[in-house]
Amino acid sequence: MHDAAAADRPLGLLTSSFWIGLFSFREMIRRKRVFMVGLVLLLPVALVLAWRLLDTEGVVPARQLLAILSGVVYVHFLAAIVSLAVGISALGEPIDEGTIVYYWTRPLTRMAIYLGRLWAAQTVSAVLLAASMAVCFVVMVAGNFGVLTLDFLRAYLETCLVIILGAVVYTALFSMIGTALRKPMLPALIYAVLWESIGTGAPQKLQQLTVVFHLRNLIKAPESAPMTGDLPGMLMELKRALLHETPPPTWHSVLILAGVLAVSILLGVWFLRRKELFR
Amino acid sequence: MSDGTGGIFMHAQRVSKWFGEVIAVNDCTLTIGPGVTGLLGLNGAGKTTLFKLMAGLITPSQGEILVSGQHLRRDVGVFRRVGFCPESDALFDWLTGREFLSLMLRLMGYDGPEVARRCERSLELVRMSDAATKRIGAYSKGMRQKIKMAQALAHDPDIIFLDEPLNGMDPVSRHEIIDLVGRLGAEGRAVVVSSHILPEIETMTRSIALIHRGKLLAEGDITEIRDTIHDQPTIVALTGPDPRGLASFLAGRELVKGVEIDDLDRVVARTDHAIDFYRALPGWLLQNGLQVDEFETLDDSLQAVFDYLVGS
Repeated sequence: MHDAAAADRPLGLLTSSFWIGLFSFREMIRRKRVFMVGLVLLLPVALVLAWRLLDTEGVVPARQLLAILSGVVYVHFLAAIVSLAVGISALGEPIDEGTIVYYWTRPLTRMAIYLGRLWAAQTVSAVLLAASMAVCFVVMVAGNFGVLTLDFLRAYLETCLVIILGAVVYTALFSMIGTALRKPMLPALIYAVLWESIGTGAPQKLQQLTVVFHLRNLIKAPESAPMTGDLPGMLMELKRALLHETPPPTWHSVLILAGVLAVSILLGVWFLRRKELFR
Repeated sequence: MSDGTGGIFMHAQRVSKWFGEVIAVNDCTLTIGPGVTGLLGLNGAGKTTLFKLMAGLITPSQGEILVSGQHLRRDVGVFRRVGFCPESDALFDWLTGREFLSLMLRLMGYDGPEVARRCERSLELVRMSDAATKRIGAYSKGMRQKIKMAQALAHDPDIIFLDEPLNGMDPVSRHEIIDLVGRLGAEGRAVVVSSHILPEIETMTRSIALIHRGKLLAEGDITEIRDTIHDQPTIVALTGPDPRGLASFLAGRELVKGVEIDDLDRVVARTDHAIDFYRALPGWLLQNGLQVDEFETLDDSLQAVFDYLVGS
């Protein structure tokens, strides 16, 4: 039996979010949804495989394929979709199922619970995307070591980092939506599919309100090598030239992404503090 | 045991909770002290809502609830002294019983060796040691109830909330858990047990809180509550060698509203003040040389009290 009052402090934020995160990671990688996402992530692998099998003449160079993968497949589509699938259920699912009660009846602050679950979801999203990128890399270079230039390697690593950053930001955003709304899937899909896919024809000011714009802005390939085959990148470059638009500096995009991350976390914690358990 | 609040473990002051137009809990004031308290009510009466309010899982629309003198929802550290066994069957099915308890203890702030020690002890407490390495997903309904109980008790709490703890249990397990609840209460812990099955509660405690349509109808010892229901006199049956003599004596007493002799040759007396009647009875018998071999109250069972208050 405990002495009253003296021991009535919540568990430390770092310790508790670490244990929650570790457990939640193990829980999340078991979810069927994650398995389905894993299958979707085989699409770019299939694309690279097709390139290896069909492009024996070297019509599309590896650098160009990487630009297509990063600019069109991963940043524009998969980062948001994978993060949506994992992030939306990070807090929403335990609340719906009722298992959140086992966190809520421990000496844990809502902030620790939120951060632990979010950390786990972000890790799952990032690991899934990075693993898919890694498999693509292996398929691309296996027995084809001519493509392994320093420039290619650096571009690949940079792309990976940007995609992981995208997973971190998007997952925070979707976790917040999943915590705030009882039926979050439709609004989240509308956000991911419609809003984030604002065409490159839209004014740059409007595009800057999307996460994808700032992620693309961090990937140098389309700008430095506009003819790499990344169609959205080329269109953006063309429009910028016609309208005399200049892309924002990299630090600007990093700040915006960090801001989105921070605001999403703060809002998510705020929503969780107000959440009640009805099941 | 020290609760730091003079024996009051939980106090709800004029608590209400509504969801839109529906009032789930309506202006309830309730105090929980040491021992076992049964929270009773029909399905949908508001028991689970009151339970969740007490455990800080939902916030009152009005009023306040203090556990060990603190707001549980705000001062989450108090959960070190609170155990909660939810009614919901949701569990981490992919974990084994032992892994689940270990996680719950880790989240209480215990480290490795202490986690292992408490884990084994709570498994023994609910007699689940043999099934500890099985996945929870493979557990029967009764085993799931037991593992939920184990996580509520593993950290040795002073205040324990058990929401429908006997749901789905076989008779042997029921007996074990009823026994365990009784022991926890006898140790001076505050144990609040909710159930809609009256005989279950009656085997655990005589102290109840009765909720009906969101309102707290009565709180306290069943006999005391029964004594306050004046429109329904308490019926006491007395057996002795001279029923007629006893009946005529009792008929003249102020506390006795009516007397008759039933088919079993028992004297059946009706009284509006059962507790005073029980206090006076030994004196009357001694002073008047009357003999009573046996007596029983025919309608102070929980069921009778419940029926009188709720209206069967």
